[in-house]
Amino acid sequence: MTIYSSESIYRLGIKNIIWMMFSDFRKGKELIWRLFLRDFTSRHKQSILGWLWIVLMPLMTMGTFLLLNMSGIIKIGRIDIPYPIFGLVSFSIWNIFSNGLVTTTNSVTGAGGLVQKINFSKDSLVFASFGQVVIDFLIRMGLTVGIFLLYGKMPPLSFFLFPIVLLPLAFLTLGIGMIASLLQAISKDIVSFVNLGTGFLLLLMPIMYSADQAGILGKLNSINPLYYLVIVPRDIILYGEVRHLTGFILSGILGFLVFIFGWMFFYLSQTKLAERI
Amino acid sequence: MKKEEIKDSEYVIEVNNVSKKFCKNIKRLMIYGLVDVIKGVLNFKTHAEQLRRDEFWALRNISFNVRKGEAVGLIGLNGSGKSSLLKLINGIFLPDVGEIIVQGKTGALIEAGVGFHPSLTGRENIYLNGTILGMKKNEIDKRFNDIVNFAEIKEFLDTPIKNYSSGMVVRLGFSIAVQSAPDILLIDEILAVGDLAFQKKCFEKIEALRHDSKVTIVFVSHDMDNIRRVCDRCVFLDRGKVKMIDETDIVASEYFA
Repeated sequence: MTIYSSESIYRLGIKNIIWMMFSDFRKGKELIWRLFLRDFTSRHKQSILGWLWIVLMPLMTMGTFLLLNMSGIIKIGRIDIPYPIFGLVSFSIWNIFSNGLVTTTNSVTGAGGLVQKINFSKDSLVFASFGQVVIDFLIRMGLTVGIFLLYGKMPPLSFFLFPIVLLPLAFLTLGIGMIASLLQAISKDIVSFVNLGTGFLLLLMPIMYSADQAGILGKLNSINPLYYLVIVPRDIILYGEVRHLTGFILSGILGFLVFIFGWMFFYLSQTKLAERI
Repeated sequence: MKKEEIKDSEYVIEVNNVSKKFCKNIKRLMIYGLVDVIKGVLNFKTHAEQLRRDEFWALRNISFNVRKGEAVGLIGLNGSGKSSLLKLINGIFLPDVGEIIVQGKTGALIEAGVGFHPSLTGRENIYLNGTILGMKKNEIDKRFNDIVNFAEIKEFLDTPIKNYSSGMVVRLGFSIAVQSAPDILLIDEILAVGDLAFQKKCFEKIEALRHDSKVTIVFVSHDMDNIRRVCDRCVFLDRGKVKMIDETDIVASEYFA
C-alpha cells in the first residue's frame, strides 16, 4: 500500500528518511545502470570526434598551462615526474569535481518529460549522470599508465589506490550536484555559475601546477576542503606520499556529510521538482 | 497495513479530500517548493490550506474510490484538472491537502514516447523504458517477444526510435506499459495517436486486462465513445472540483448537457 500525502514522508523522521534513501537506492540499482547505459550509448552518437574529447580536453588544458609557464605568466614549479603525467592525473582528478558538478546539475532538467510524466526515483538521474564522469576518469587513468610506460617508468603501487582516495571527492561532488540540480530547476543560471566557479578554482588552486602559494591565496587554500580532496589524492596517486592528512580526513568527513545532506534534500524535494520542470 | 488487510480491502484507489495548488509565477513556485521542504524537514506547519501569492487551486476537495478491476473515466473540459489528478494518483505530484491511498503496482501511459531516448534503438528502448516502469531485466527478457509482437515493430527493432512514426512510438509505449503487469493502469488520452486498427487492439487488450487479470483502469479522454467503451463509472471534473460521479452513461448525459 502506498499513501501519497504532503506530510507522510516528514512524519518518519530523519533517521528513517535516510534509511529509505539507501533502501530505494538499492532497489533502483538496475534503473541507475540502465540510465547510465542510455547516456553512455547515446553520448557521442552525433559527435565527429566522439570519444577523442576525453583525451583532447586534458591535452588542451595542459597545453594552455605549459604556454602560460613559458610566457612567465604562471609558474608551474618543480615537478618530479614528467609534466604530461602530472598534468593528466591532476586534470582527471579535477574533472571529477568540475565536470561531475556540471553533469549532475544538468541531469534532472535534461530529463524533462521523464520527470514530469513518470513516477520513479529522480536521484537515479543524478547517480547515472555521475557514471559518465567515472568512465572518463577511468579512461584517462588507463592513458596515464600508458604515458608512464612511454617514459620507461612504472606507476607507483599507490597509483592503484585511486578508487579509495578519490571517494571523498566523489561524495562532495554528488552532494553539491544534488542541490545544484534542484536549483537548476529554479534558475538556468546555476550551471553557468558552476562553470564560472570551477574555471576560477582551477586557476586559483595548485592543480595544474605545483608551485607553493604564499599570501592570501595560500591561506585561502589552507581552509578550502576541495584543496585537500584534490591535492592529497593526487600526491598519493603520483608519489605515494601523504601530506596534509588531517586536512584530508576532515575534508573527507565534510564531503560525506554534504553528500548525505544534499541527497536527503533532493530526496524530499523530488515531487516538487516534477511540478516545476 | 498487513497483507491480509490489503487482500480484503474493497478499494485499490482511495482519493480522500484531495486538494492541489499550483503557482502561476515560476520563480515564486520554486521558492515556495524549497520553503515547504525545509518546513517539512524541520517539522514546522506548512499552512497547506492557504493560498500564497500567485497560487491557485488546480484541484479542490476531491474524493472518490475505485474498486479492484473497475474502470473509471476522468472527464472534463481542458484545465479541469484531469491530468493533474492522474499524476497525483500516480505519485508524480503529491497532494497539498488530503491523501491518496493506492494498493498495487501502478503503470502509467501519460504521454507517448516519454522515457524513450530518440538515438537508441527500439530494442534498447524496451529495456530502458521497462526498467523505468519498474521491471527487472529478467522480466523484460521473458516478455520481450510479447512486447515486440504487440507493438508490431519486429522489423524495426534495431532502428533508432527517432525514425519511428508517432503511431509506432505509441504502440511500443503502450505495449511496454501493459506488459509491465500493473495492478492499476493509468491512461491519459494517448491512444488517440495510433491508427484505428491499433486503437481497437488496445481497447481489446484493456478489456482482457480487466477481465482476465482484474487490472484497474483510470482513463482520461475527451472522446466519450472511448470512455463509454472502457469505463463503468466516470468522475466529471469542472474547474478542479468534482461535478458528478456516477455510471458512465449518466455522467456523459450531464457532460453533453
